[in-house]
Amino acid sequence: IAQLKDVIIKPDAPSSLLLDKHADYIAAYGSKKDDYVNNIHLKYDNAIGKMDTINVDKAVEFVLSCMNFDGGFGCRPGSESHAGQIYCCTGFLSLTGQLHQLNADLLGWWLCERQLPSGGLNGRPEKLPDVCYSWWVLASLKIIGRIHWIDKAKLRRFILACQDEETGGFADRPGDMVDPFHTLFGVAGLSLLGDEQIKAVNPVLCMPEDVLQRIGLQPDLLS
Amino acid sequence: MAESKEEVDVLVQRVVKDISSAFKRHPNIDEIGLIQCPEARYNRSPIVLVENKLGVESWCVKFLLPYVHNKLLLYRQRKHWLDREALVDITCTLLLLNPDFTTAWNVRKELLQCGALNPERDLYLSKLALTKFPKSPETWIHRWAFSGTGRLIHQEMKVCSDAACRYPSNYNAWSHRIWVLQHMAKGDIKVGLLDEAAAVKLPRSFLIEGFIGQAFRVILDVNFAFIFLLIFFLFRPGFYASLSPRRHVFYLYHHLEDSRVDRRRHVGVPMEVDGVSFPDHDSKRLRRGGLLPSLQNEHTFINSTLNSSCNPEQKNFALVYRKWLDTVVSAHQ
Repeated sequence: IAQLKDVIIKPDAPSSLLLDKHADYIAAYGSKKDDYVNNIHLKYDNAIGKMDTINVDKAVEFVLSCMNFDGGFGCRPGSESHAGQIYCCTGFLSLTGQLHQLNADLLGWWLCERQLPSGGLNGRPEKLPDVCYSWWVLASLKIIGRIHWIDKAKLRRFILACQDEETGGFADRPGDMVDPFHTLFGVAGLSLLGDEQIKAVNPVLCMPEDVLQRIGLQPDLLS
Repeated sequence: MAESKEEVDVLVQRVVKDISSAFKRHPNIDEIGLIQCPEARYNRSPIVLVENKLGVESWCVKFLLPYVHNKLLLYRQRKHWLDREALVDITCTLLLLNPDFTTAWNVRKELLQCGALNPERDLYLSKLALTKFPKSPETWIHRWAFSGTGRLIHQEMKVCSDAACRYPSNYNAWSHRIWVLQHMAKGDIKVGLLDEAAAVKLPRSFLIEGFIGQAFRVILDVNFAFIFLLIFFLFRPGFYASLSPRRHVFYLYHHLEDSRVDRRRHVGVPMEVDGVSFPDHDSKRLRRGGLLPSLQNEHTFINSTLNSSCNPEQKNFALVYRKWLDTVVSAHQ
């Protein structure tokens, strides 16, 4: 199709997961890695049990008012559907027990249409693929029970091609500069795709499942 | 060039007045824009009117916008009083320069509520703002405040079409069109169909496909009794955007929540016509014409589209439709 925005994956792009390289890359970003993880854990503990400080019904009402004709969500009523917004809204609806308000087929279709010939996912129509959407789109699909609507093999190939073989880490697309943001979402995306070398990640909270099991939190998912 | 605070005050008040008088003297202004003009030349107003087009010379914006913006906020904070007429003029100036300023639209909503502002003026102002800012989310949202008024649906659709032509893939314009269909037209078939003049001008895109599909979904939800007419219309070859509404007809046909649908389906048999209870004469007519949507018919239709000599866009839509049948529809079998 003419004018389709996409990338081309070169034959010599990385095709296997360079886990040790990524561990070195992240470690180099700060020696207090463990404190940081514990900090998040504590903050989260605090956050649980504070749901009654907000008007959840009103919040749900607002989020649903941002649902568009294509089943997606924009940042305000009538605004264009965007994968990032969709992730936030589906996660929110999961945490508030309102997933049944979604049209899973309609939204699932919009989400799986984000996949381009290269295998990568974009955030909305006519945009280039970006590895972070492997998370926003994939996690949303997992939450609404439609992750099998994506071609997993092609997506995995795209994510792996975004690795930097020398420095470790992931970039937004093959050949670009790596950064921790895209590294997180590249690894998390691979986890959702079922890579056995990576811990299972929870799609709603983007945290390891075993951490959530420890604190007894299991957000809703559609099947 | 005005520089001191007093000079700026005088300049701004004159400009706001000039804009207001321009509208009073020329009620047919149909477009606004910025005139690139970095320096004030001659001692004349930056407001220029040519053939129903209103222009603002760019040099004055850096004085004008912060001033009126600040004035309105002071009013809101009850630190500065503005009478109704001044509020109308100031918000008008503000919104022509920056229509995404929610506070200004909200002040106008309050003026509407207390009767100090005519709804027609506000709709006119937002229509003008959309000529320069066709995507402006706050402007589209402001038009929702008028659902109770007697404004004409076709005028609203024209605002949508014009804005859609001004900016490629103008999601907000199409989104507003769906809103009109749902809240003003209440699923009226005639309204839901794209008028042919607009349809010809617009580039074919997945956004439009998506819109048309949803428009038909709205229509069909309301007009179940007319479904057979629409099926016939949609299956007409050459209707360039037929595949999205076709998809929705297919989906709705097989998944209607309506109590009229007979839910006793044979387990294991692919989606079939027989379980649905149409009024008898409609059902027979549809069967005779071979028009009722079944999976097999749809795949045949797709293959014939792909093998035909129609344009690449239509073939692409056909491939997308096939993917949808294989992904979404098969999930429910």
